Amino acid sequence: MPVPAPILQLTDVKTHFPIAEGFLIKRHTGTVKAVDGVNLTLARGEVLGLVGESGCGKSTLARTILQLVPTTSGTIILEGKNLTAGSTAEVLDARRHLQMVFQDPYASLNPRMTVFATLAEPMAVHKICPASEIPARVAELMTTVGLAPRFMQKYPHEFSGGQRQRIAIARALALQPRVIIADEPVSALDVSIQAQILNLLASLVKKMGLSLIFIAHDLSVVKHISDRIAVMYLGKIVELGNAVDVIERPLHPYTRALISAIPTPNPDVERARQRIVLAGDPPSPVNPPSGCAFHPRCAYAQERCKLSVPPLLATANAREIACVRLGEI
Amino acid sequence: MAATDSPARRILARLRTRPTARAGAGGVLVLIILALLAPLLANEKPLVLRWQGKTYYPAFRDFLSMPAHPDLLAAGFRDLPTFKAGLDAARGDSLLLPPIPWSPVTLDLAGRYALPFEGSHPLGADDVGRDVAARLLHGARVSLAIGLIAAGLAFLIGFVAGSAAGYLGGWADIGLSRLMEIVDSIPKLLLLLVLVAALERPTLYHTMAIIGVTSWTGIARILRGEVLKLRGRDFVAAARGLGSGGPGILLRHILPNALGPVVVALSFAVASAILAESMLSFLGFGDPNFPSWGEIIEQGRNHMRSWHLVVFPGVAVFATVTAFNLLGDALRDAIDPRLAPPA
Repeated sequence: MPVPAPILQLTDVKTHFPIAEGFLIKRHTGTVKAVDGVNLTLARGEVLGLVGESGCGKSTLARTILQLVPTTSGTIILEGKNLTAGSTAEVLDARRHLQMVFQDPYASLNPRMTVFATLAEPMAVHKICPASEIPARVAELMTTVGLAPRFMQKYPHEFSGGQRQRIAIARALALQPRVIIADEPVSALDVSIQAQILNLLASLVKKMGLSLIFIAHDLSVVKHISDRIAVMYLGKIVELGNAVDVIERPLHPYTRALISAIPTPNPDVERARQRIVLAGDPPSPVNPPSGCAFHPRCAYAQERCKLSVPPLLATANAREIACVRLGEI
Repeated sequence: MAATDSPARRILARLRTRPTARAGAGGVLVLIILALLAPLLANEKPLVLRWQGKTYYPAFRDFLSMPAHPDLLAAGFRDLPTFKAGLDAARGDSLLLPPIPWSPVTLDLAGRYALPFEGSHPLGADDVGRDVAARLLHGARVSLAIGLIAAGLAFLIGFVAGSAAGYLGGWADIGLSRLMEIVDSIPKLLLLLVLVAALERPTLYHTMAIIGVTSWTGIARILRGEVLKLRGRDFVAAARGLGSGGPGILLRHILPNALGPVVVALSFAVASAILAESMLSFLGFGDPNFPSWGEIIEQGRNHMRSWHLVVFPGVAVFATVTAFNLLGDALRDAIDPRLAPPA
């Protein structure tokens, strides 16, 4: 299978936050390694699911890719342009091809701006069309995401959660981006609405040729929409592969635990099946365990797991796993 | 297209539906009208004067801040007795007096400490026989001007300092926050007294400036907190991702959402500036050229039997402060689209 040219390429991306204490004279007392060496590529038209527990760095990775938080090191290359290289006009222009849909549509829309103002602002900022065409384009965007254009002058609080998320998606589409990062776009919504938003995103990817990074902490949501799935643990990617492979034949012990947490609809099966229950909480990213960060919670851990950080190694079928006991377990 | 529907029109439409908003706005409006019309409502010069076959409007000339008519000056018409003495009914001379036929500075020595409705003083007179109603009306001009201008100045300083501290953060925030604490730690009344005493001839403008530059910290502090809170919101991150720059984010996304509590603080600032001026006048540091509500209360302090010298200006201060607070409260609700009645 020929590998298509990646539209987005992350190389050893690290986002560390210093912890400073003290009044006026700050002492550097530690570092939160929220994202710690992520390598990732996204192909044109691909949907990449990114999963992991709360606090594993998924959202920080998303904000880092958008450059809403500064990268500590590494490069983020979008269509040949390095987004981490300062704030030149070229970089700023490149960033508009990368947009984000946030988790909570109640927090991500300005309550004082109508739908029209929200959608028109990015068009006006980037002057992507003459001002006279903006109303028509706003109406078109609203139709694209399944909202009636007659609601243009309404405020966000007049919409339901699902409708608000549609507005947020429309805003992300306003600049005709190439890549959209959706940070848990359905976890704040009712289950009945989740499927609608997922279907909308899937159809937009097809219709508009978008690439999508879809972040969730729930594999059952991700598996329907993704081509590939990346599993993140404590700032690092531990498993990556085609969606079907990862879900049906998980190789990393952490992925196995995640997948076993998906409930089965049939209560008899659910009662009979063996679940892998992880002990404890994810460790602190300030002071991560030595070696493989997962070893304190891993049922297969050995002495050598504590010694060195396992690299993310490519295996058959375009999969990458970071586990030294791969093949043994 | 409905896109031309301006936010200001929406806010006005929402204001109109609230009873407390109507009361507050109505009260402030009535006060402003009374203050503006004071020279027509309380004046010892007639509204209309027929004299030697000609018609004059002496009170209206006062209202427009014009000097008296040269004919009348030449004839020696200065105050009410001279007007009355110069008229000759047989010649067809006549005059129409304002509802309160006293100016705020006329001394009616026969009517000293007059109680309400004694003589021709509807609200009584003070220790030197000046009409209380006339002084209240003319004093409203002083109180409103002080309240609005001093609070406007405080708002301007507080707005810039608060949004800069909240949005820039870092050293700008540390510096401005410490400055607010320093200004706050100076006893305001003491500073006012020292400055007014140090000035050789304190005028109203000095008082306004002093109140303004000492009372901006509350507004700045509230705005700083709001900006700090809103700066971390997702919609601000979204706007940055969409390419908006710093000024655009502050003006379009942060400040409109921070305005509600600031409007309330502003209305309190108007009220407290009026109180501060009353206090200064009460202590005898007002501008002697202008009648002031605080000054009337001060005179009442010496003569406990003259209750009207305390009660009427006290009620005026209370009503003004209440009206501004109601208006501020209603404005905060009106600028929040979430509290709008369904259209």
